[in-house]
Amino acid sequence: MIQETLKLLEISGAKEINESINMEELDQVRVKYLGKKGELTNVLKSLSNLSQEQRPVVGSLANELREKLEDLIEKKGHMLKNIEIDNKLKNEKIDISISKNISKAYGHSHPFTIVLDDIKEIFMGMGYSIAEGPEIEYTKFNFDALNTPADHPARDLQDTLYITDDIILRTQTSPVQVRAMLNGKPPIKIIAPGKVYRSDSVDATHSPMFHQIEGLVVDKNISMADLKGTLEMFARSYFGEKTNIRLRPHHFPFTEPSAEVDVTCFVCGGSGCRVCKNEGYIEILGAGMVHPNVLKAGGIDPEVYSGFAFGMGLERIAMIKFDISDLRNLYENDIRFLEQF
Amino acid sequence: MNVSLNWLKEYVDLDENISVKEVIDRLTMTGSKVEKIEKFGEKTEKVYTARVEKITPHSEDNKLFIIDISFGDSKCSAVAKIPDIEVGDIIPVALPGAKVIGKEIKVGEVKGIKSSCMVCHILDLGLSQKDFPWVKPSGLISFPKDIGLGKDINEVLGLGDYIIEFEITPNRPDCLSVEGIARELAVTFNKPCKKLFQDIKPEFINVNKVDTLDVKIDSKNCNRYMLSVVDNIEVKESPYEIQLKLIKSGIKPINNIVDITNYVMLELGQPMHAFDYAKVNGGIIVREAKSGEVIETLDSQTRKLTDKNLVIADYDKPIAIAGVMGGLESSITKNTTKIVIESANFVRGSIRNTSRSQYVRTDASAKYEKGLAPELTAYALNRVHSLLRDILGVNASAEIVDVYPNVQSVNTINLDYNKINNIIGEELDKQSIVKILEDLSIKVENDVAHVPYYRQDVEIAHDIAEEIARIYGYDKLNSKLPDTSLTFGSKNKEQKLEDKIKTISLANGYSEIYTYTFFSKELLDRMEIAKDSPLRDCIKITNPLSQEFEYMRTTTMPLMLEALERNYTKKNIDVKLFELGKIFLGNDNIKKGDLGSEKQVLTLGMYNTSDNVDFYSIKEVVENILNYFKVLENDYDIKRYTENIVYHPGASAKITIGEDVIALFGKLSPKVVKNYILPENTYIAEIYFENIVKYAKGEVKFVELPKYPAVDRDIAFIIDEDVLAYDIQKVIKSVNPNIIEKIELFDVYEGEQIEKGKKSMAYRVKLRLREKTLEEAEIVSVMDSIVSKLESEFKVVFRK
Repeated sequence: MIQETLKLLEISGAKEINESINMEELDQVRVKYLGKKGELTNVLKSLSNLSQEQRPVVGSLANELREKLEDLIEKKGHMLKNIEIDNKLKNEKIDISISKNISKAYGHSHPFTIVLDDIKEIFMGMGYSIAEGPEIEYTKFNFDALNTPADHPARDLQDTLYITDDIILRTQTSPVQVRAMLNGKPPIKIIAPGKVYRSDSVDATHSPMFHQIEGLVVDKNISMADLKGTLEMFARSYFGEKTNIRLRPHHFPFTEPSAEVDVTCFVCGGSGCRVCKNEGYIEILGAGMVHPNVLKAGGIDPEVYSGFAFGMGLERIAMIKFDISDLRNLYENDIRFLEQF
Repeated sequence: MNVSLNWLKEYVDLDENISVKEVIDRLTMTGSKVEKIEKFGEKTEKVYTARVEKITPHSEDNKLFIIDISFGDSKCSAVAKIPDIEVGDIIPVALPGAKVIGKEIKVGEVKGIKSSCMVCHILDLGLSQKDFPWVKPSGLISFPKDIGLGKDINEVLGLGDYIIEFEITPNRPDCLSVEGIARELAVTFNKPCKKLFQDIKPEFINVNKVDTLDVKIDSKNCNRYMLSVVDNIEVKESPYEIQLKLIKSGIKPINNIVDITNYVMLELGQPMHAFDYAKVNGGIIVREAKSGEVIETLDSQTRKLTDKNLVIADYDKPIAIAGVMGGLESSITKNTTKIVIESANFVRGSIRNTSRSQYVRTDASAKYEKGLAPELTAYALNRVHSLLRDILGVNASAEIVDVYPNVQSVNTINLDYNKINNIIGEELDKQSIVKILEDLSIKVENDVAHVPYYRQDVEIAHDIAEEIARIYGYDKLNSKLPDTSLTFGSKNKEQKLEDKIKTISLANGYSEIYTYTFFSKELLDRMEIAKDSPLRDCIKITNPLSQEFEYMRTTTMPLMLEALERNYTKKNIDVKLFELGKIFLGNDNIKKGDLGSEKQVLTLGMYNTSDNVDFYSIKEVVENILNYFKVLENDYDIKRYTENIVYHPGASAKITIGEDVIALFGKLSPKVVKNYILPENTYIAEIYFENIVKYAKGEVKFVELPKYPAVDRDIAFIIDEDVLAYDIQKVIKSVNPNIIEKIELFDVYEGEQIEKGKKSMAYRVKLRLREKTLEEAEIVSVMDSIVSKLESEFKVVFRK
């Protein structure tokens, strides 16, 4: 008899659960069957009327049914919730193509910093430290120690900006070489980036203040082969794997032998284009073996040690790299320029 | 330095199939860098020199003439417009079938008169009027008479020649000459070179006086002065070959004497000068000018001289500015019959200074500036004598005056072949090294290199190494990475912090700028900086390019404001900029002969044309930066900043630790804004990087996270508007720093319902003990203490 009732409850309960169309209805069904005064609860309450033998049999059937109904309700409930969310989502549609960032989240590095960081990273990877020196410098470090005698044209008032007779705005980053040698012992491997100054009026390719990056290696048995290999490594790392370099004889007072160094044009690969002015090569730096007089001025015995040095203009590299034809762009600091980097 | 390729080929037999490109490429790779090449004219076919025999006007057209022309052994006639050709002129004439600038010439009838040839215009030869002196205003040519008749124009003019412009490095003044370049060309192509006049040792007899003239050097700026006198001179036009070479080198022919001196300057690189003997009184004195002395130079300029200008004077007055330009009065004229030839050497710096102070740069001064070999003067004087003999047929006496106070030493270098190889990273054998040196005229005897006089730059083993490397070929040198002992590439603390401070500035939306580190004091005026401000004690550049760049900056702010202004005038909205750059202090040190003090400053500048930025926008950035370096609120003092006129006194702050200023920031004062094209809403900050470095915390020790819950209690009160939140918070915190974990301001209000001069503030105080859960009694006690402390310190009124 009770078994009959349970069977009927199962059928009607499953049906009502299935037919619930929202959470409220489903909850009503739960209360109707499983609530404190629910139909199944009532059955369980009436177990006491049964005989000792029947009680456990019916009891377990009733509990089975309760679990079954609970399970059905949970599944149905999950389904109904998802349907509700789906309906809600339909109303939350927005135009995702609109941009509303009022303030710029992230600033832009100046091209100089971008170039400099890349170059620093390459040389640090090769074991170079970064050295610095003052921009207001003694002539003894900027000229005398760099084998540039008192009557050298570079020291003329027309080329060098003087503070006093013995103090100038450094015309090159090379005095950092001298300071590095005086303050350290071989092996010395440094690069020295920084501002330098010359008496040049502002135009598309000149500026009275500009930037250089100097490199210096001093140790035993350093030769031009080491210079060449190092610059090749740099050129390939910076301008691309296929880059070749070309050393041409040149003259600097502080190196001997000296060279100007070209790289194969990274745009055309050497076949000639607008960027390299059809030369196939782009001149990027000056280099050479450190002159023995410079080693001596740096307190290093040229009979024991030798070294190479190189220097390049940051402006020039940035202009080549980013295809900037007028240097003045780099100092005007127009945000529309800066935001391109 | 411009050199004709044909001239060079007179010294070196280059293979026929070597192109001009190969010549310049290989010269560049051995160190004679080619700047530019230009073609001299275009090759013609069947164009010859001819003399105008007769000119008859055309009967039908008064602009046309019938010209009878003679090639010497044949004749023809042409009909042409020849406004300025005269009988006797030697002109280029094209025969039927001739080709000029690639086109074939056709001749025929012109207005009924038959033409059997054509008169060539300058343009027909591919030349332009401006660099060719043998041309008449019409563009028709009239050659020097000695060019001859019936000569192929290509041959006599060397049409299609290349003029090569070399960039000669300052160590190689010997290459400022055709012979110098020729020697390089020969070595580069491994070819023999014709005997050079630079190598032909002259045999002079040195006397105290030639004719009546003696020489006295009364200056340390003259290394050598040689003088000869040549009589029986007839001044006239030079042979056309000499003129042509001058023309191709960019020098205008004048007369045979001047041309010969210029020719020798081109050929040997030694500037020469000739005076009219009749105009030289008594003798030659090389001396500095007396202040106020005046000379009229060859360019007809009257020049005031100073005691820094070296002059060549006779017993009366200066007759030339030494090494720069001759005087007009003593110059060679048509009437000159006797000449004084000068071959001298001057100290390069002296010539450079005179040339610059007189604003005149000549071929001669350009060469002297580079530092010529004093020995060269004798070779060059000898060459002038030989040309006078060849061209004028006059014999110069071997007796000359040679005053030579600074005798040039000859360089000898002991050759250590290993050392040379070690420098260039090669293993060349002795023979190869000696061969290269001998090719360069550096004689090797018993492993000692004897350097020729004109190579003063070769002094030590490194110089020899460069000679070997460049002729062997830089491109052939080995290449490897240095096998030094391991070095650790790294940045120091400052450099790392520099990178970080830039990164945080970027992360806050600021873009990086680079500005000039020098400025004018007008920029300080523009910023309303007081006349007695220490910012005006700037390090001064004694020779600035212009007033704009006269002083080293003591503050970065004017440059930042200019950058902001430039952006604003270009209608860029919402601009945020930063610069990490140096200021230059310590003008006192400079006066004592020491270097100044260079300090890095991070400068921030920002404006926004909308209203959604305020003081707190710039404060947030400053705090973000300080937070990043763990310079925290507990470590520093923040005060209202009113001492600097650039900053708005009501909306600016100063952060300090002890005496050290960490940061200044706030709104740009309207007093400054009014001097710029900038919006009111402009905010600026200066962060002193050395103090960031000083106070940044490097090592971090972890503190256990709290185990016990925190309690939040709110308090609200009314207080004088002048009291800074920072001071209130300091007082609150001081009540019990152990329990008061955090104080958060969540509301500030001024306005209606609040008494004027007062503000309402509401704080949330977070309380926690690390050891246990707080009990209500403890909480109440702390809060009560806060209330009473605030009441006593600031006379606040609490809102219930």
